[in-house]
Amino acid sequence: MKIEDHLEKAERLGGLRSRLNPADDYELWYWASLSASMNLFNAALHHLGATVAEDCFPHNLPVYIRPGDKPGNFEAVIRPFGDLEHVEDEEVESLIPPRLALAAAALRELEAVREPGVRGDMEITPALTGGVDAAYLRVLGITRFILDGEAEAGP
Amino acid sequence: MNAEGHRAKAERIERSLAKCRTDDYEMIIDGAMLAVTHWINAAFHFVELTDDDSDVIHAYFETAFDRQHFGLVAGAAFLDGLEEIETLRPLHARGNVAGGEAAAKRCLEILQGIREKALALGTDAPAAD
Repeated sequence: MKIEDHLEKAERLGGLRSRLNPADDYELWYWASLSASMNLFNAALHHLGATVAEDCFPHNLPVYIRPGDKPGNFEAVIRPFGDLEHVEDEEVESLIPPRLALAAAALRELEAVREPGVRGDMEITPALTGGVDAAYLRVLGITRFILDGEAEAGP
Repeated sequence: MNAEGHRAKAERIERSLAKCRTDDYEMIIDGAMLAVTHWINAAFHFVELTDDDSDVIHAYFETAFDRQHFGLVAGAAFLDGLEEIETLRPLHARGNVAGGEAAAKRCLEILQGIREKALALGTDAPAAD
């Protein structure tokens, strides 16, 4: 997606996240945290020129779904790296610029508790929700700094 | 995780989904996907199609043999429903194709149908002593 579309999604996901209770609604709260983080990370990657911003949507990379010229028409296409789904394989890792290394590390922290916490029976503790919150805020802070800083430094 | 655990997780996610607004369509789609997956695992564990340590995660991870096998015992609607939700995710949860709210509504319908099928298979029966 385009940068502005990622940011719009991240803002709405952040809004939902703030309406959910981290303990009672852990699964959806966590998923909103991860999804918002991934949108912010993709926006920053596009901004730094590391990945392509285009209207192709990831479905098990490098397969992307590209809308056709009529509503309801779509095709699966192999594309250069655009939007990422996860930050967990060697080829994806090699795309990440040093300025986003700490955000990528925070995303990996989020990913590490995805399966046990959402699909498994990991106990939902304050330590777990606190860790997710901290990782989300790190991604938010780093990506906003890059996106906003570059905007201010522009022409 | 056993059938009761999956059922409890599905119901937690459903309570959270009830807090979503229509413009939270990404999380309605993804939350429905997660809840449906838990209902599928609750049903499959309950009828002993799958062991407690063998969970369905995505429909596209399952082989044609498994799809047929699961369908014969529990009905094709479980994996077919999950597959339909998964088809909508790239377009609306990860993408910004128009119609996200309608897609989310459809995902909630699928979730309701799969919950009913899982409960009909007996996952709401009292736990054995």
